Amino acid sequence: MKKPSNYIFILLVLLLCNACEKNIDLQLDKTPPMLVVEAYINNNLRSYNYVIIGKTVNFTESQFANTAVEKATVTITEGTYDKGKGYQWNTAGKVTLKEGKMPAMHSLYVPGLYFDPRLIADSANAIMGKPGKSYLLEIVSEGKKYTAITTLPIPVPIDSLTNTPPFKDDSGRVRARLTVHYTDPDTLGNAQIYYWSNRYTKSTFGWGALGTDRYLPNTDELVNGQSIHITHSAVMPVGDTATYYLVSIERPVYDFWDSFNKARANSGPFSTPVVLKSNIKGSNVVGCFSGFSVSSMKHVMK
Amino acid sequence: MVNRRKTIRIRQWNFLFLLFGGLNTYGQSTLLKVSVTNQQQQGINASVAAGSVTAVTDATGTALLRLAPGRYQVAVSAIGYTGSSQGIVLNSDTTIAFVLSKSTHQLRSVTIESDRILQLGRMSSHLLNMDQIKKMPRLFGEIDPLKSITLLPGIKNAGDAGGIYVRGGGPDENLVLMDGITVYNPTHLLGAFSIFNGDAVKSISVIKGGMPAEYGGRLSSVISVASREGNKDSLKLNGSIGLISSRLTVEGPVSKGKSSFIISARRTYIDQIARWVAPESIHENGYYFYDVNAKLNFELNKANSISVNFYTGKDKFNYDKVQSNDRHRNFKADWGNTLAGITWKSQVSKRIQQELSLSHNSFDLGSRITYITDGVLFSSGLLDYQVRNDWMYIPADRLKLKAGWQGTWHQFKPGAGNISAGEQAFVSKINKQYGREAAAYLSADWDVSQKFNILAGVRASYFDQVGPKNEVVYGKDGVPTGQTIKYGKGAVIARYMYPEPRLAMRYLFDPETSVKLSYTRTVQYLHLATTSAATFPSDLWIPVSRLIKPGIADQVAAGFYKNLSGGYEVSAEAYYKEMSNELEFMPGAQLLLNQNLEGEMIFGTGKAYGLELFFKKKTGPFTGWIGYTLSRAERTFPALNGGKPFPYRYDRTHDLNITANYELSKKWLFTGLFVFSTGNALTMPNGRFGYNLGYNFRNDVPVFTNIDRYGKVNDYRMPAYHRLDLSVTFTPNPESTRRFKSHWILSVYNVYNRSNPYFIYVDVDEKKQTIQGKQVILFPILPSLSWNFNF
Repeated sequence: MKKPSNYIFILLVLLLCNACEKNIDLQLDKTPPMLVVEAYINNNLRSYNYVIIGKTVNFTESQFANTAVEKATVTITEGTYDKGKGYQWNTAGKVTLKEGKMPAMHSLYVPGLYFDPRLIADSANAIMGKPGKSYLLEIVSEGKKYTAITTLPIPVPIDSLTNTPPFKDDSGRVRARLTVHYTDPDTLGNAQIYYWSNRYTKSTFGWGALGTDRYLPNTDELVNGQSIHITHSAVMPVGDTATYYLVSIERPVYDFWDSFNKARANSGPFSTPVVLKSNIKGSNVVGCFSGFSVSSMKHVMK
Repeated sequence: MVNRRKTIRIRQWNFLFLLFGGLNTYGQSTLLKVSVTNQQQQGINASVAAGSVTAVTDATGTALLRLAPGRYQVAVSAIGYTGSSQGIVLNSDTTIAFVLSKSTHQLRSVTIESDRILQLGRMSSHLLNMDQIKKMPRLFGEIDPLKSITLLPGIKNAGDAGGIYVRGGGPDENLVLMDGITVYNPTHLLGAFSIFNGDAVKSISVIKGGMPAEYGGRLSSVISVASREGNKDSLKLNGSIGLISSRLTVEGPVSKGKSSFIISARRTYIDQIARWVAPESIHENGYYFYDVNAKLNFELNKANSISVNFYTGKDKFNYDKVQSNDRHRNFKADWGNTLAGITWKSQVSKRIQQELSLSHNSFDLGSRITYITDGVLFSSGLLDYQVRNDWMYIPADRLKLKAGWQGTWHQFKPGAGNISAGEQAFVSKINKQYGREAAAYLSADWDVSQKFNILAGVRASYFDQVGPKNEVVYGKDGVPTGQTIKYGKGAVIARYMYPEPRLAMRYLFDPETSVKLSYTRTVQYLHLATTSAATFPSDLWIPVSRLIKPGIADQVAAGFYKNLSGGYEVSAEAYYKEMSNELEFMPGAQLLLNQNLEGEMIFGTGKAYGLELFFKKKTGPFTGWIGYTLSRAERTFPALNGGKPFPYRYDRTHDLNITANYELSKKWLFTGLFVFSTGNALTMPNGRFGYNLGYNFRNDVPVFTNIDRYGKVNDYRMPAYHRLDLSVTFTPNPESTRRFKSHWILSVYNVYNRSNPYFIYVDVDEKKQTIQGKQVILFPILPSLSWNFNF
């Protein structure tokens, strides 16, 4: 949770002005669009290595979701980082990502969604991230080039998954909450993001559609080396099988998702403008090439 | 030295006159000490004139004048009191005491400044006393000394609530003092009310520029609240019963005529009323605040006195909501200040006065949020111990020297908490920080000629942050390197020292016309860490460190002052101020429970300039003032707005205040005030995009999160703020000679129900795919009634 103590005072003001809010017509500036890049490389879910390219819209436009940027050239190259030599890219293994009808997307054509074409017919050989390796993303769109580099850290193993004692929710269904147990490595600077899939995410695709804990992208400054036990607030039906993904990320990727979480919770009063951090290089671009080192485990909710 | 002393005691219509004569040991110049008190023997703010020499009384009601031997007509005047004068023959050092009685037309005057400002060496200062503030329209019936100063030019507040901003400075750049003790959080209810109980306050003064050298530690202003002394003659009780709060004050002598006490308390009770009206829905939820002021004054002998001050106050808030049988929200917080101080004043000799004070202050916040499995316990605060010693010496005709020193020991608790997420308890404690602040000053108030006065001084200030501290070393990317630097107890972590020159000059064209010029450098070693558009009690005070440099401000100001016939006064002041090492936090910065707070900071500069016009009618049944400020305040941060200057959040191009009092009869007093100001500057989004995309095949809809895109900083303006308040005071029996007296005050805040925005925000509903601008209004039209009594 960010600025938690402020929430108390925000609530106090909102209670104070409960009846004193009214709609107004905002006359906001219009600006030319900016390129938005959402790219992933991970070591666990082959079809979840993809790149989405879009554009920003003016604030008051009725367009929501993605304004797709089509027909871009998108490649990912694996490499290693050597302290003396810098990045060494395996250009022979460069993978070109394309728009198309991917099985994981129920073979729908989604403009602006780029993936390894081998996912269609030869998915076992489609691109997959490896912990310790670095990846170079290159995009050429409308004559402009954009690049980004991300590295997959060594994944942190999950010790176990348990759930809280079950309880009946308002509709009488028996639910429980999932708890993850893992040990933070004894080196400072680790960062984790938490995802899970269960029956609710059965008919979905993409990292954005998985279950996640919006309050807890975590770094270990305050809990370095400790045993971590996190109970997520989302409820799951008892009997359901959950697949849990403990995602370790490098610091620039954490910084992006941290700023993302701040920005997403930022539409209310008292908010301050949060500008997303970005690891994409190029002019007029925002976004993140996220290297996810995933440890996963299944758990039946009891 | 003084071997002959004569005392004359004369009781006249409205004053007591005491004359102490002494030998003149300084050749042709003699010292005239004028003491002005009210009938309760409390020193009052007054102006004193003896021939062409003028002075103003200090907080104890004392003024010192150096005069050549001769005949003088000594005149004293104070707003709310009947003025007085007395002819004297001055042969030797002399003390005169005036006891002024309340004027039958006391309600007519608006401020007590009158001609004092014009003749003072100091500029850019105002003083309001409680007799005037009490007549102003009130919000919820509460008298508010702190809010009243925002009706003066150059002093702004955020709107209906929030901090105070002086000449383009931030809310943390005002030195708020209560009887000389620093107050870090001077408001209740997030700035809607000040902590200063009107019944316990005597006066409030503000210095916006040309600060004398005895003040320091903040960049933009000194706001000094003097609390009231108890009645030395008889036991008195006064109070007020209002719609949401009540106040009660008891005062009386400890030793008749010499020592006194005063205890004043108030509490809001809207929580109790709500619980009584709707016990089922309110439960234990609610908000209230209380405060208690106490003061003891002991006159040890003619030359020595001791005063003891105490204040404590708290805001308490609780909100519990059971949303469903597994979703339960609880918010709980309490916060407040405690101040305590003891001051010894001594008249060492005819020419030397000294004042020694020891004080303590603390601010503490405790809060708890729980929601389902997440919970946060958070506490923060700070603690000061201060010693201060001031000396005044009058060595020669027309020269007054002041010197002094002060030392403060600070302890900062930037946030300690216990974050729990389900079964896990992440216990975390952020390092406490310790600082030592010290200053010494010397200033001279020199009447070069009868017309030309120079007030010059220098202040040397020092701050160091000291251990114990384990400082975590962070890399450039904000990741801890794993290294820590250990500082032992008292080990210096960072150290700063600056000279702060101060200069003010006044030229008197004639007794009714003057011009002034001043230059002030101020240094500030503490910063208030806030990211929100509002100031919250959870904002943290943090000291300078190796990375955080002290704020430095340089201000020049020029002014013209003129008293016109018919009781009118006009003044115009222009100022230009530059500030360096201004501090902001990176957008979305994580401030609480952050060990690497400094990593979230960015540094820049500020600039402010403006013209302040003031027009005042001081006499007659109709009195009042008009204050207008034309100004610009901007900031430049390399990390914001592409490094280009942008308007400060509280940059106000136009700021207009009109205050008017009309005394229809002794029974009826009508007061009105109107305020208008340019809207606050805001950063609003100029674009947006969907991110964290996914696809839900069951509903055939994309899943995404809407993210705002921002352009220029503070490029958007909120609508202008304006408001009219009216008030009527009804005194049923003004001529009553009975001990018990009472009056009613009916106030209407925001008479024409202007929807002044407290905040503007955009409500984006991703599910409904709608975007709507929203305006939050804090106070609509609010009538209030209070009954005030004393006996």
